[in-house]
Amino acid sequence: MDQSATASVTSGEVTDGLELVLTAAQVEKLREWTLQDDGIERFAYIYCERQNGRLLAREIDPIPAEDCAVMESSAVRPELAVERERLGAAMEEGLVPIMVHSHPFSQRPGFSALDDDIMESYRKWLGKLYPETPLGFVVVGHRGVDTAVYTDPTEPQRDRLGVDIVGEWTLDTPLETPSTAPDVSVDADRYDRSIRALTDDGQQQVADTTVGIAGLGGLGSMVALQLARFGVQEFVFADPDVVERSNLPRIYGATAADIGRDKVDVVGEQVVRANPDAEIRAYNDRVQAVPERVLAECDVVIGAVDRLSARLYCNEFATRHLRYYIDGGVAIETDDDERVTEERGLIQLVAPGVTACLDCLGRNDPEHLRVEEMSDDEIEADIERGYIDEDVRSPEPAITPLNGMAASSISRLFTKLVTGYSSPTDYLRFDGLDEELVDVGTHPSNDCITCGADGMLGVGEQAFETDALVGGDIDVSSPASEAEAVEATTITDDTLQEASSDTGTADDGTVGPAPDPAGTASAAGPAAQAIESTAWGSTADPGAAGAQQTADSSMSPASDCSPSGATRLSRAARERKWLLGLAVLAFVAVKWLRSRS
Amino acid sequence: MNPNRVVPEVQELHEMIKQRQNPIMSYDLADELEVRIEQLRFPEGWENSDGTRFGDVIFDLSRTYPRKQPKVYVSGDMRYEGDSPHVLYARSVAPAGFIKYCIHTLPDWDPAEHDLKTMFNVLEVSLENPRAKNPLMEA
Repeated sequence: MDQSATASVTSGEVTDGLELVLTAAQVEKLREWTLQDDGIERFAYIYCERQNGRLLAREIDPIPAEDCAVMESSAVRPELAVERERLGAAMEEGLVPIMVHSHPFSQRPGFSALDDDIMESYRKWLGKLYPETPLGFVVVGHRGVDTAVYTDPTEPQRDRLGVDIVGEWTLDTPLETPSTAPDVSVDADRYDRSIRALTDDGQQQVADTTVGIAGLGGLGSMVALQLARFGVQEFVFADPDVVERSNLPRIYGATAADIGRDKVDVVGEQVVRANPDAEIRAYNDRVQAVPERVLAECDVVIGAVDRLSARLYCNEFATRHLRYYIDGGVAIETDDDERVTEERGLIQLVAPGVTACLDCLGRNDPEHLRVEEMSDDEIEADIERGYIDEDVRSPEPAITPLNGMAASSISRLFTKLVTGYSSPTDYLRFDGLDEELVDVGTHPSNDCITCGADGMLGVGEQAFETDALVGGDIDVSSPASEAEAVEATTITDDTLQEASSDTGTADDGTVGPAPDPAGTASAAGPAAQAIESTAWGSTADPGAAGAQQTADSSMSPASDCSPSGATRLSRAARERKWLLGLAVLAFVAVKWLRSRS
Repeated sequence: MNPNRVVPEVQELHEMIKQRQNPIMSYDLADELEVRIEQLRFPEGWENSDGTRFGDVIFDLSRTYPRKQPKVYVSGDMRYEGDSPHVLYARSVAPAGFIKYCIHTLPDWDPAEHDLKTMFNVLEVSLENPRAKNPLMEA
């Protein structure tokens, strides 16, 4: 064979264009198969769903001896017919195949020269047939793996493939894997104390982690602020609600001036103030409406929502995309005498394929879901019929200390999860009355409708074959498809600074940014205006702030719903102009009178 | 909702119904999240505004299916012995031209065991005896 004609171009670098994602359970299955005591090399395929630069492992397919042309201590390769069948089936289904073989004699293996040639021959064969499908390779040793990928198999350029293991801490023995270089920097001075606890690498992991938070109320706002101070820089927020007066005791940083503003904006601004490096993509909508590709970029999704349907969506989403989901919630029960009988918090980590998901634990009360989906009219009618109790319409009791406990528990779990300084708990339950903290290990159920054998583990965006369907040609796009996609507001330190410096008095008398001839400011939408109003409040002179506070303290609930802080400030500004004009007029009048006399 | 699970369910339901009659089935798993059975022959006693027993049925799955049993709607002009029994829930929101069919919540609904065929069987039982307080219990 002509070596020059077959040589690949190996960068030795880990590509940032693709990453292989496996669950710890899948890794153990691979190890168990490929590293047997007999020291024979073995082969397996990993079939992956390709989603936004991530190769989500859906299935591990070990190739037994009878299906191999060679299987000995120094070489292994499936029969050609088996290769054709397995690779063809995977490619036809749109899956990316990763070819795995072992070096049982090695702790931290690398590809041999023979491996190089074989990989190149695969590329030449499959690259012509399936030019759009990347080709991946893994060699497994006892303590580590090495990887290779042809992102474009029509070209000989070959890179290393980063590997992300979901639930890595549960591996029997640690596994060294190639990983992509960090893409953000850490201010070592600012984070000096936490670096002393978590190391440079740990703090870097925090900074590299993108966090999605569903629900920015009492619990979600605290979690967001804790994580921002902790060094998280990339956030995606989703909450459809605006700040109400009854939220003020619990949403951190929210003031009376924020009443009527989107929660995601109010909390987003607080987050940026806590961490000027933070950037928030804020969706004033349900988490289900966030574009799937955006939510899939979140390494960790945190659910701090009061709707079960939103929790279950996050749970399902994490399972499909092999992302971590931390579900947090608190509850207070009272008796007829309005005494607190129970005060509890639940925090559950969903590490797909590794820990139980919400459905595995039966946290999916159908009756609760049914009531949640009912319209006000339907609830009214069902109450009249006696199907449901009147109290379904009453808000649940909530207090900030309980939220604080849950928020800190979530943040601690997040810290362990991301930095790896200690294994995160699977399920934490605390009882506020008895001061009990219970930590429970969980396991996924094979029968689970979400993460079990017939579930959605690693399937990525929802899609399926339409050929053989009843009814035939219909649109079956995913729930948060582009058609439904909502727009995000981006909140950064820059947007806050701009808002602060650009504020002025517009022609209509309202306070806002300087006119934008290009019309670009309008693209930021109402949320951007909301940012400006808060920035204004923070830089207003003490007298105005004091006046505002006084006004707030005597406000009736009805008046809370009307003018925002910005509007009130603009009124104050207008009033001051008027006073100034009066003073000038008086001065001119006095001068005129004096000149007359 | 897992479309990969729902699609085979729809197909199995289609097969099951086809053994008894020949309605038109369609579905939308993208927007409306529903399965429609058109021109279904209702049991004796039911009649539409044209004086026949044929009516349409919608299984409203919602995103939470199969964790929760689907809602059921039937053609709004269906009447039972000239009357509108309590199972026809006029006050509830329904798609245009339909009325909610108040099928009782199955206390033992188990997504691992139950599916659209279960729902259809339950509906059939209920349609047979729509004046019963709980048609399922009395079936």
